[in-house]
Amino acid sequence: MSIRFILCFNKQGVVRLVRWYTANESGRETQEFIAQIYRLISSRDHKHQSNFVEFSDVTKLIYKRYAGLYFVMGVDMRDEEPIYLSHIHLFVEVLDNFFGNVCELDIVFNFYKVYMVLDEMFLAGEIQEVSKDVLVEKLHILDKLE
Amino acid sequence: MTRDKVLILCDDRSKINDNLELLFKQPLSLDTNIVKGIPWENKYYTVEFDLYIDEIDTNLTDWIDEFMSDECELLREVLAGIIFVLPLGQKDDLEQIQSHLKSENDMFLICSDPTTESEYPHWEDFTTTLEITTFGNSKARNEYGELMGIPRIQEIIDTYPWTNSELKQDHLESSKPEDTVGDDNIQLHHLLSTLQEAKSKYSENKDDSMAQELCEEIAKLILDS
Repeated sequence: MSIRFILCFNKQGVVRLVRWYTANESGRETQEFIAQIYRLISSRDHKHQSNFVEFSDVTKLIYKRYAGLYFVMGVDMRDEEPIYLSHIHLFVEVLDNFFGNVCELDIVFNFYKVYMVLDEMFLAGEIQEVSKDVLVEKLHILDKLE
Repeated sequence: MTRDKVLILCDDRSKINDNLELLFKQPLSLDTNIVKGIPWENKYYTVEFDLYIDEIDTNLTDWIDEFMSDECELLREVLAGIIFVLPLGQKDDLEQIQSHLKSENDMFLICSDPTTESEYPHWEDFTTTLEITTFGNSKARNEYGELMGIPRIQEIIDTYPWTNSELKQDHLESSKPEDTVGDDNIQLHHLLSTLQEAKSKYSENKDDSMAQELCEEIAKLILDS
């Protein structure tokens, strides 16, 4: 399994999205686990440090900040980082296309739709669709079913 | 207690009143320090809160000490957030605000500088605890694509978990079904009831002409749909 979890939180550490693809490796409480990730990422120098950081013996974090939100993927140590960075960017682009100039408020009030987008892109810790056009079309069809 | 008050702290109200009116989309008289029932609306909900506008007449340290005293405990319990509209060129003021007010987790803390249109480098050091931005209305974005100034303050107010908000019906209602879907349901129901009726009639009186007539009626129903 490549992706262990996907998180999204704002600059103050308020979690907006979380999806786990594997059990909590350390046995720590979930909230403490997320708080540790937030402290690690928020303390980094975004101008002089990369978007990749080792988190534990088995997990490294790939993250990117968009406006006031951090999107974070926890991946296996053996995986290549740039590809997950591109996955994060694709996810954000799809959200932006789906919602039309997406903002944090859209994610808060349409969290179920955001999880729908996430589940269309990622399944069991692996990316399953990389075409933005295909994703957007599928999502609009799914949205109409509501 | 319901947190439905917002406190604005500034050093010179007259210089920022125009932008305050832009922020809250309301005329605000310079003589009025308390404005009740400010409506706030976005595409998902509406909410009303009261606005308290205070001009600082001592230094910031003394104001914070007074605000954190026991006498102001009730005020702290009803505040949803504080917006400081002060020059923030020095780190000291931000350190003061962070160290004394960081513990008020249920409030948003926004520090906005009306004297600059761009961010100071030292603001980065406080971004995890305070929201720091300018106080202009230029709709500019920083290097992360984040809005700055009044639009950013509006975003922060939008994302605050108001307990007295009312969700808009447009957001709650699911999309209306197409008209044709409703028609199909009626026709299907009519078709099924016709078949049922025919079944019961034919079992009593086996008449081919009646059966023929019924077949034509059903065919017409299907073709018309």
